[in-house]
Amino acid sequence: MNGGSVGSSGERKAAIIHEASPLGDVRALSLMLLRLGTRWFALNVHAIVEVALKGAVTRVPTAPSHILGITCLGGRLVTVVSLEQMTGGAGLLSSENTATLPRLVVVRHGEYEMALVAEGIHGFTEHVTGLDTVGPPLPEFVREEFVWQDNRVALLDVPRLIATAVSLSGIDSPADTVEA
Amino acid sequence: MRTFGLRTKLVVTYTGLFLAFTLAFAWYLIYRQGSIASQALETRALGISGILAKLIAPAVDLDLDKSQAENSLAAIKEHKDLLYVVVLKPDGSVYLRHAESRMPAGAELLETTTVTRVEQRGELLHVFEPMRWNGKDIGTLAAGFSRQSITQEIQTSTRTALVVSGFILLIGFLAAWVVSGTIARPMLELATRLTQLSQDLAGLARSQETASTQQVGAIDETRGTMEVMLASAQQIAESSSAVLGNAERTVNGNREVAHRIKELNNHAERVAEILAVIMQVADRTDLLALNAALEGTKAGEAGRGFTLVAAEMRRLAESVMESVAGIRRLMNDMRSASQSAVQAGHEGIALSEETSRSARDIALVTQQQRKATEQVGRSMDDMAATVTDAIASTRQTAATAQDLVHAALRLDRMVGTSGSRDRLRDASPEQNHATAENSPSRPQSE
Repeated sequence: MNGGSVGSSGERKAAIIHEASPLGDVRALSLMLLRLGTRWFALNVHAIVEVALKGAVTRVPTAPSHILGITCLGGRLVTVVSLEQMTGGAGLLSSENTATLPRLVVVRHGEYEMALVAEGIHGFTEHVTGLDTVGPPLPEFVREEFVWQDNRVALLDVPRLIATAVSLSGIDSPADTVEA
Repeated sequence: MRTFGLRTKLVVTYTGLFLAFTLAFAWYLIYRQGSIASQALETRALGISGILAKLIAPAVDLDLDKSQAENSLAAIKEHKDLLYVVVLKPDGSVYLRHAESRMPAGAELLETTTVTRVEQRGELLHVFEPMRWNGKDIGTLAAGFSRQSITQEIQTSTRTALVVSGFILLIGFLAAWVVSGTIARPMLELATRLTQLSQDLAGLARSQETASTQQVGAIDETRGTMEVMLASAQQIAESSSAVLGNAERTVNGNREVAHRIKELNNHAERVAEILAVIMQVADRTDLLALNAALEGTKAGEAGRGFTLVAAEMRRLAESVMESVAGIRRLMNDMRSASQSAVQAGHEGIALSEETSRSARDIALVTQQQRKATEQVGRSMDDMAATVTDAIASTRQTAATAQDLVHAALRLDRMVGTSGSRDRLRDASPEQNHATAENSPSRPQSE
């Protein structure tokens, strides 16, 4: 997660959330659908930088469990985050059911950038947010859930996801560490 | 027709011989006694006549009184055989006449003679004794003697001879009975034994001939079986040779199949590598199309066409990947199948090699079996020849035994009694034929 000159992790989270779109807005979004095991997630295409192959991921000592490590994409180091750890769905990954290799979906909010591991990318869809929130209470980085082709899809709020990941890590971003 | 046994014959023969001997003995004895008695009577008659002639001669010459002559005659006229005395003169006239009352009438025979002579007529012996005195013939003394003493002597001799002959005949009969029994009994037993033995021998020969004939049949059947076995062994050898060739060809074919499958595996590996490359390219293509679609989507309405093209490219890439995945599954199936085929080929090679070894063993065993069968066939031929010779010998033995039976029966007829013949008739060869055939073993009596 690349960040700017922000102080503690709490402050950085607040700043990231402040920059995020407020909840409760009703608007049409272009979403990219990705699958992780049996779970479906959706990301705003504007928050996605690129989709890359999941190459070698270097684990970081003392990193929390949802941080898988770092990888090199286009010459820059990107933190690889495990959605399954963050959503509490351990063991979601199952490469047997997918034809493609695992993907890394690189998302950015402001200066913060991280990569999410996805088993499959299932294209794009248009979705009007703020209308059909269903299900039990959701994590704060899940904006809402909706049904797509009989699959329950969790719409991830990228700023909050990044903020949560930073908050859970309790460490400065690698960029901050490098700058320091 | 009733015939008599050897003992009877011997008894009859010996008895006949003894009877003939005793008859001859009796005849000889009677004849001899008669002859001796006649000769004695004649001697006595001649003596008496001579004495009388000499006693009476002086009286006749001197023509004396007859009383002197009768005195001379009285001394001997009491002789029991003397029946009459007549003294004739040379002219034939009777000088003296003396006759016993017991003399038959007309029995006198009065003849003159110059030499002493004796004449027998009837029961009388007539003696004519010339009478000489001082060198001249003075007459003839005719005397008649009774032959009754001779008859009595002959009768006595006859009785003696008959008694002696009867005794000798009895002794001879007993001796013949004993001797014939001594001779006939062993011969009869021997003949009976010989008959039974010959019958047993004939029966045994017939049984042996039957058994040999059956043995020849069995040998022929065995020889036929051996020929069938030989043909079967030949056929098995040919079949095993064909099996061996097929097994060797199968081994080579399996090795060729294994080689081909190995090559196929190599090709499959190459295909897998190519598929991996295709998969990688398709995955990269999918990724590029995804990013392109992402950018098109970000561009909004302006990038919609770009998004559509990118989506289509993604679908193509995903289709390629799915196809590659299907090909991979097929390749895995092919790999498994080829591995199974290789395994089956190896097993087939092992089985074919085992089949080859078995076929070689079968060929070897069949060859040995064929040689053994040929050897058995030759042995059967030798055995058949031997049995045939044995049958001929047995038939000859049977014929000889039959001749022996007939000879024994003839001997038995010759020496046997009716009782023994009845016993032997019960054990005749014709009656014993079936018994001998039914019981080939030697009888218990042997």
